[in-house]
Amino acid sequence: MVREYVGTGAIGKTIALDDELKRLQKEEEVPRWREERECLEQSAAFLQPLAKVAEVLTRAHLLADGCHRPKGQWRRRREHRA
Amino acid sequence: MNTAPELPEKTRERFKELRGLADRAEAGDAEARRKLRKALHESSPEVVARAADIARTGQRVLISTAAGKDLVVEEALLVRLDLMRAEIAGENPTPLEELLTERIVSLWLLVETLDTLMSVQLCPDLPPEKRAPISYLRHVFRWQESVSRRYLAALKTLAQVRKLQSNTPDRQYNTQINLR
Repeated sequence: MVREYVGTGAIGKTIALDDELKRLQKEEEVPRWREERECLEQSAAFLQPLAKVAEVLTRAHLLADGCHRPKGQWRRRREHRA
Repeated sequence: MNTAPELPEKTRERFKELRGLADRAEAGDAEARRKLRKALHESSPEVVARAADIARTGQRVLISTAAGKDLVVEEALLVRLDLMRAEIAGENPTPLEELLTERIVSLWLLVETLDTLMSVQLCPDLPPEKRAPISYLRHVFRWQESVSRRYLAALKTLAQVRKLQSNTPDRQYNTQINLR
């Protein structure tokens, strides 16, 4: 918190009222922005199951196709020739 | 609060089965790999179709949030997504390619939404009463970074799947010509 001396009397009171008004406005804004954020996050919530399904199915398809990931990188298995 | 849409119970069961088999196959179980191939053939199109449904419904919800009740913007975004979908999936996509395309398109939409939100907030002409608090912007910025990363990763995954599933030989032949 920073305290700043601005004066006394009528000027001091006016500035204090202006400060109080700004503080109240800020307090009112917080729930509005929180609501906005929650609305956006809820709209984008479908990405979670989509990502999960896409990751598991990609892994399943690549494994079934004979790929593997020895060091985190997907590769085709070497074909062993007789 | 988790409000993520969920797959139907039956599809979730199939998805769980595929995940279990994939875990075992990755651990080196050859029998699980054979079963996985069969299970994918039987249930993958259904799981993919359900997940793609979720994606399309979600995209519509996100579009209406992003467009802010502007019907023209809403329509324009829907058309843009259709064009992107056709361009990315290409002709005769496999079910997996379709699913990955939906993921890419959804992430692109979110990247664009967050970019627009940030650029409006960074505009110097924005009146002070419409400026979002720094804490909110910081949250959006972090979210924007994570979504961009996931978007690029999804593009990379699609390219990788196409490369590995095409019959491109994994051997590389280099020809060297010595001029002297």
